[in-house]
Amino acid sequence: MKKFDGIVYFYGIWVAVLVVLPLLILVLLSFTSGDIYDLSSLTLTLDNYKAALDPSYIGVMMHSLWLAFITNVICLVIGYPVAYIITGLNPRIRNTMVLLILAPMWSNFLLRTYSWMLVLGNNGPINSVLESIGLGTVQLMYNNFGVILGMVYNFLPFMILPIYLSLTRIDNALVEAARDLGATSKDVFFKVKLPLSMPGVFSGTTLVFLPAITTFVISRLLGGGQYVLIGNLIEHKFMVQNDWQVGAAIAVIVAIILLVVLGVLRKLARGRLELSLW
Amino acid sequence: MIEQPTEARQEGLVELHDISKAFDGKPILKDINFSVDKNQFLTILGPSGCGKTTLLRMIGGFEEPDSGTIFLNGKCINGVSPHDRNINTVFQKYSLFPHMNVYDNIAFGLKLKKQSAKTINKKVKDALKLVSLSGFEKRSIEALSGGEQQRVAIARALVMHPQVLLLDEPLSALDRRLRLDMQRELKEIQVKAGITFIYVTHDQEEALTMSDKVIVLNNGAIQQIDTPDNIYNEPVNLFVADFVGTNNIIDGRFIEDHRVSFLGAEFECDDVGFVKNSRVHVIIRPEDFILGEGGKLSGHIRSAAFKGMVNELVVLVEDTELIVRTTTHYVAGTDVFLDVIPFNIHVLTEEKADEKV
Ligand SMILES: Nc1ncnc2c1ncn2[C@@H]1O[C@H](COP(=O)(O)OP(=O)(O)O)[C@@H](O)[C@H]1O
Ligand SMILES: [Mg+2]
Repeated sequence: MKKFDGIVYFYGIWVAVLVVLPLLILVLLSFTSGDIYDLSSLTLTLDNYKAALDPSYIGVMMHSLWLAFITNVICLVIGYPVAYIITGLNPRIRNTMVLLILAPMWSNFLLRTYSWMLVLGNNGPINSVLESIGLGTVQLMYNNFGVILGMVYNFLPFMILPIYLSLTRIDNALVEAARDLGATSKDVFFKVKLPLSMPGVFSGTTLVFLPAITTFVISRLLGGGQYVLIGNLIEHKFMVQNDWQVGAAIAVIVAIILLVVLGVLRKLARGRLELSLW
Repeated sequence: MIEQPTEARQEGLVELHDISKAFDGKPILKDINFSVDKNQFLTILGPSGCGKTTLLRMIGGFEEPDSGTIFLNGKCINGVSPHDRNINTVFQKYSLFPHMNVYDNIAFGLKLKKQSAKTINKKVKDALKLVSLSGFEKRSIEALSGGEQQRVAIARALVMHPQVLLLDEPLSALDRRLRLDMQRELKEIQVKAGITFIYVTHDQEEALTMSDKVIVLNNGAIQQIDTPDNIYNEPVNLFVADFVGTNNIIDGRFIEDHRVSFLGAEFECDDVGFVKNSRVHVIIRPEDFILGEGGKLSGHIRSAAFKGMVNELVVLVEDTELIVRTTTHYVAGTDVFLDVIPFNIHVLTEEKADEKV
């Protein structure tokens, strides 16, 4: 047991140093004004939050939430049927399909996003084709479409996999029991499989929504240089304006919003969703 | 699909004709033939792995036979999907829906039938009462013990009031007391509600006490179809004799009609028709020995154990250990004489057993 204790301690220290400490510093920063490199000059204040709640920033936050929401819905609409179809395949093909879904993750995230820029660009293959058939050039990136497409492309596997896992975990005996009690295939889906795969839907949503709301690389590359998402705004505050304290306040607000969203999702996951399906 | 006879057949409610089934080339069920009458309580009895569940799954529609025909009400139901058969199942693994509470599990089939909320409510309440789980409506499935889950599974199938109810070892998770109660309940329900039961168990006592008809299955083949009485008293082969009840199976010699010898003595018996001087097995039930001061066999009591109502002795006669049950008190280590009346001697050979099957 001694060895195991060692691992637990190590993990505890790891989490404390790399997760808890930065978060604490972030929260402290958000409540202070003064020179952050000179502890004695720091004073407690709520001014950062006042600044963070500037209407234009709130607009960016809403916009981020909206894009993340759309991304999530699209991932769900594509991901659930894909996961469902894979579950029905025979085991060998099934494993190959899962590998294929994971395959893009073996290449670098930035590279993948850059290649989308080539594909979507005004001189890219799509626009060349549109041009040649006389439809003219269509703006495919540096707008919401580009950002959403980039996010859906990058985050879709995180939606498919948890749903796939929760679907494979459903005991076929339950499907048989439902059929025995008079359920048609449609009934089996809506009353047994869908409710029982809801945990997968919720963890998929968590895995897509979190990175979608905080990403700044995809929005910078495919959304053009503007402050498209809250991630870009925070990055700009820290890296360009060097205003760490307001940046921290915005980050804390985003974290609180995410915690609330996650809390609601959790409640839903445990709730009585199946009743509404009758 | 197989040709279906169109005229109504008047034989059994459920009939199996020449059913065979193999999994991965390994035969699991061989040439199964039997029929169940309306309102009958039929039990399929056999050791674990003999194919009972597979047989039940074919009747329920979850498995298709490789060959043979299954009739329900005289109509071939091969290929008919489970939800189109007026048959419900209590599954061996309960298979309750984990995302629903007890009430919703039991109401599941009724809701699919689009019955009114009031009707459903009443039926679920009644069913819960029947399985002694009143007040459990809101409980989640995970919070139930194995025995409680098993009873919910029974209630869930019973509320459907099917023509035929298939039960796959439905009482196996209950402790003895509750099991005996539920046996009585189930038998009562079956008679009162007029539902045909096809009941699977590996417990011979359960099979004998509940059923109108028992099918003994071994290695995927039917050994005997008979009333509980005959299964117990007239086993057609060694397997049935051994599996149903504790029996002494003794090597013997068939001298001539009505005469058999075993353990060094000659006995009168009721059996006729075996080859003279052939080797046979003699089956004697533990409670059929007469113990006393005199008798054809002399033995030595190896051990004596008090088992509820009776004493169970192990008596050594020559080199054979006999199990003997008696209401008289005996002490281990003493000598005793044994005798058997002709009626209680049952002669079997493997050959004769095969003929009968
Ligand atoms: N789907 C299946 N695939 C392969 N073998 C199976 C399958 N179902 C059952 N079997 C085999 O068939 C035999 C009979 O099983 P089963 O009908 O469950 O027996 P019982 O219910 O009498 O214990 C067992 O050897 C089991 O391993
Ligand atoms: Mg079984």
